[in-house]
Amino acid sequence: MFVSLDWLREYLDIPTDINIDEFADRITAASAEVEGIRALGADWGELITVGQVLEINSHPDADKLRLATVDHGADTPSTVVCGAPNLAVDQKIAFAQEGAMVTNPANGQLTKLKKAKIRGIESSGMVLSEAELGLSEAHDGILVLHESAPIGETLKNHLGDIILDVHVWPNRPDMMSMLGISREIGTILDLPLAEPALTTPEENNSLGGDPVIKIADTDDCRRYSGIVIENLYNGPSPKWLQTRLNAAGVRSINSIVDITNYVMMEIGQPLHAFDLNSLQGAIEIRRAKNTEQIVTIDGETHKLDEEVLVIADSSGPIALAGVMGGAKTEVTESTTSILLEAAHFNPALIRRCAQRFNLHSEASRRFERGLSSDLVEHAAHRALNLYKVICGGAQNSNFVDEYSKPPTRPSIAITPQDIERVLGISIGSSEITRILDSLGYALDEQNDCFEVVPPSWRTDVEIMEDIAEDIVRLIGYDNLPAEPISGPIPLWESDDSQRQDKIIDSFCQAGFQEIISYSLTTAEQLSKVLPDGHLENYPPMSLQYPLSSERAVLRTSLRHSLLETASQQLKEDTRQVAIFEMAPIYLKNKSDHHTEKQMLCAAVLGHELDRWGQPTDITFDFFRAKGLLDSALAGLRLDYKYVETSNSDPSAEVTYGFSNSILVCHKGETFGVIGDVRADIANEFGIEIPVTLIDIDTAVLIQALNERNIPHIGGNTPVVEHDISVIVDKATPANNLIEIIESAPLVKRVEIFDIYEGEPFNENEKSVSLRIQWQAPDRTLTGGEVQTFLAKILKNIKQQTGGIMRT
Amino acid sequence: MSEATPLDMIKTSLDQAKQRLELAQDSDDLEAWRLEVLGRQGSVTAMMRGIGELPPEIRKEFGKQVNLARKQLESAYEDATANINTGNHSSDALDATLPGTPTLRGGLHPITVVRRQILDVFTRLGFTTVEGPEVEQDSYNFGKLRIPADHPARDMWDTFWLNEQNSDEKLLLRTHTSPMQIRYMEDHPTPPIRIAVPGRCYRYEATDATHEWMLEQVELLAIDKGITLANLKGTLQEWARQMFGAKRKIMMRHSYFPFVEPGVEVAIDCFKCDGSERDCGICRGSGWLELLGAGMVHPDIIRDAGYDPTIYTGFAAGMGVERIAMVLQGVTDIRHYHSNRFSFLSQF
Repeated sequence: MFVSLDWLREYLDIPTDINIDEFADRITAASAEVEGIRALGADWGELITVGQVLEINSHPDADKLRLATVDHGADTPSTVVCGAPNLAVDQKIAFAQEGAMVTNPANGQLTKLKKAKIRGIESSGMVLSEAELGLSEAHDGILVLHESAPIGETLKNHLGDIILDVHVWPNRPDMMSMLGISREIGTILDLPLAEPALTTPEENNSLGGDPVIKIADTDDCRRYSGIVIENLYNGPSPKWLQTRLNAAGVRSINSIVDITNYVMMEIGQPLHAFDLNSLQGAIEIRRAKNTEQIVTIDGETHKLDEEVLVIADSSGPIALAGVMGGAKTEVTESTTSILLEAAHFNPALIRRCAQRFNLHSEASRRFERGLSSDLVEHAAHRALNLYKVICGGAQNSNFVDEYSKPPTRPSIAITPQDIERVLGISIGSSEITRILDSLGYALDEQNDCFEVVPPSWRTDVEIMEDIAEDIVRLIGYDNLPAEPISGPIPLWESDDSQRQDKIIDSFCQAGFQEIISYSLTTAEQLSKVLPDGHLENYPPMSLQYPLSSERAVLRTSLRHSLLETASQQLKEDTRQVAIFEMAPIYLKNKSDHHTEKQMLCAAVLGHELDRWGQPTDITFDFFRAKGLLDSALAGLRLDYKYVETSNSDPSAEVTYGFSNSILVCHKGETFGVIGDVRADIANEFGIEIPVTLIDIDTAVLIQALNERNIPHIGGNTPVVEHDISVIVDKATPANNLIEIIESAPLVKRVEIFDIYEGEPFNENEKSVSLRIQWQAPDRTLTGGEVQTFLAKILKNIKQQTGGIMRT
Repeated sequence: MSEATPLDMIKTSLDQAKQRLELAQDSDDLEAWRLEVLGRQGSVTAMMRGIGELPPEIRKEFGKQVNLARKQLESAYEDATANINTGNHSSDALDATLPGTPTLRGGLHPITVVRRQILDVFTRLGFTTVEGPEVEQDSYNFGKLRIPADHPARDMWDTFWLNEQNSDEKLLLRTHTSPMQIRYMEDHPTPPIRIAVPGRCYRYEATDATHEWMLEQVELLAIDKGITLANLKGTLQEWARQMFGAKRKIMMRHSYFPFVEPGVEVAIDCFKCDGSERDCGICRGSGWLELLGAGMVHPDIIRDAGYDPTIYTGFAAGMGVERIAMVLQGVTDIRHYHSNRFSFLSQF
């Protein structure tokens, strides 16, 4: 909300030498955040003054230009060329002397005013428009000042102002007004508040007949008042009122409408003026019927139903209650009689209506926060005063006020001990009394126990904690001690989070760079890494209103994100990419629940570098990536195995899109997969070189980490080593041989050291060379024993793979 | 040209032997040289043997010179042996300024670095780290946090709504980590509670240098007998000191969140300029950095969790990890964090 310091001074005696930054800081610390400070007229300086037009003559060489002679407080008047159509003799205007800084309306730049010849006539000054003063965009005429403006006074003194942009919290509707903000600031700075002038309506005023008001449901409308005012002047508002509205960011329309807006800005209660002659019959506050519609004053037609609260007369709806008036009963230029509405509506209804029709107005913004219904009377009396003073209007009916259910104000019991229990600081009874009194609370104290009734405008105060907050913000948070929590430390439950950190660390140590990518993507990107038809069977969750079509669904895989980032990093001239991300994927279940599954996905691609770090023609392959994965998993000291994927199901999600792949398992449970991405899929991401992906279910991996292995303590007994070569079918995975040997007794380690294909073996054969180590925990193995073990191993190999030892 | 004297020959042999010694690469070369020059069949021994064939007047001088040469060569041999054993080649020395053999270099994302820093401090202060779902029900993100539908407080959180529902309840991407306050309390029938909740959150808002629609938060919740606003101040003060330096102070200002009462905004004094520089790049001259929102848990929420609000009180706080990372790492545009450019990531 824009708050004019000049306007505030109507209600508060704010010192003239105030430091505005400190002033704003104090408001921010204790009440509402001052988000910006704008000085109006800061650039005007001493050379722009109030002037009066003495005479106007025509320009000898130009029809549209005139010569104005202006008294601006100097010894002799100045004559300047002026093109403004609204220029008139006796007007008070803003006059810029030569050398003044003036805004150029064409580009908004400040420019120094120079002497100039305009169509042959020398002009040594300028009569300024609002745009040239930087006040607004208006440049179709000059700014006309109030007739009381003193000639020769600097405009800076006369019109200059400071506008604060104040962010009022949603629970403080009372601060959505100049008076409310003044009250708050007055309390903070200890300044007395001057209330605006009110006119109490005459009673038994039966000149024109009272409006008839019917409230259908007092839950929808707690209070509705109407009063008829006639013989109103309806034209431009006085300059001071226009200036006030302008400072508050409200457009001036005509004096009748401006007064409703002015009172709303001043007191916080929205008002509405109906053109009296357009009204037919009684005023009814009711829900709309399904068949009804309304044309609002912005010219839009809205179809209505029972969700919408309307003001209606016998012809149907004439206003969306609390949101916007209807065109039918709108105040026009010819209006001189009005029915003035001041009312209180159900906040939730108003908000729903404003959201539904996208009609957020100054009125709806106030109603939806829950104004005090006591404001109604206050605002009507203020408006009546202004209609009389400014528009010369006459009250022509009684003030009809339907208010059958005034709310009961809470009475809250508090003790100094309660306050200390919340704040952690002891505050004496007298200090509590002083603070609450300054905020307008009614207090009843008995033996240090207070019965407290908040002031009517503080609709936000309901419980003791609200009062504790009022106290602490006024004594200042700096006065609170800073104390550690003294109680017992609760049970530690962070195991999973620690394991996640450990996994992330291990991948980083193996050489992977961690990335964080967006959780939202498109179905199209997902479909690139998922089997055909998968998205139809398992559609991702999607946004109702995405910010962009690129971010419309929640990802059900991380693979596309890694490929996107890999592609981007390659374009960035990164020669080697090893990246990973640990993040959830979002799966919609058949029931109406969903699952978030923490995954770890990694991508490996790039060129091997030569000794100088230059890329070679050799690209990273499957085994390079597998080596990195081994390194990461070894860092976790995990006992894992690779298990061949069964190729029976080509549509399996886990192995989809890989030209070759293998599963990673712990004690028979698969926790991940590593595979080469099919070239056609990699190409879709703009990747032209081989890329290997790793995809791990983090929860299963964490489960594996939780099952700690008992460490194997090796003995000091000698290790016996023996090399063998086995000739097997080419299709037999080498790992099968390793598993057979590993399962034999006393084998300490087995490693492949060579694989050979070609002469003298058949085309479908290969020779696998293995180095086997045996160790007994308690003795030295004899050559005979080892020969027996070896024979057993070879027998098993022959039985299970058909392989024979090469001799 | 006069004929070379026997003494000249000693000099020539000596120079040649020294040159050959310099060519020795390893201990094998050295041993071969030693046998050839100083050994029993070596050239120096041969010269000594030939002394009898020389004219008597120069024999004495010749013998002296040969012994001198032998001593020089023996000394050179010992130096060469020592050099080869310590790897200090006199010729073809290693150029240690050449780059090392390239390897892959991994690292943490800068946001992970800062998230861990934040959580490490709270871990030391007894807060346990727990996580919650990102896809949330309307009630957990809003209703149970006292942000009812049709209340203007909802405007404080611009929301991504999903097309999916859960038991007739609208689903959304959580706008803050605060729903985990409710979830954790529901699962823990008895205080004390001290948790820190990291996680991704989402805001329906346009991206610029300081706003991202996807962000990370860390939420704090402490519930126990006798927890006060002064404890919130003490906890955050200690956190600020451990994060930003022992001199740091915090400032609390009035604020509003529907799920706390009282509510505060918390700032730390600028660690870069201590508030002394008008054009400080970190605090822009204000001297303060707004870092988080906090407050005392609303008694309605404590009651809804099944705890007695006349016995138990608590505080909650929520902070944006990116905001803190930007301040700590001197990053001026939040969009760098999700650019995933290697050149950016590899600096942390």
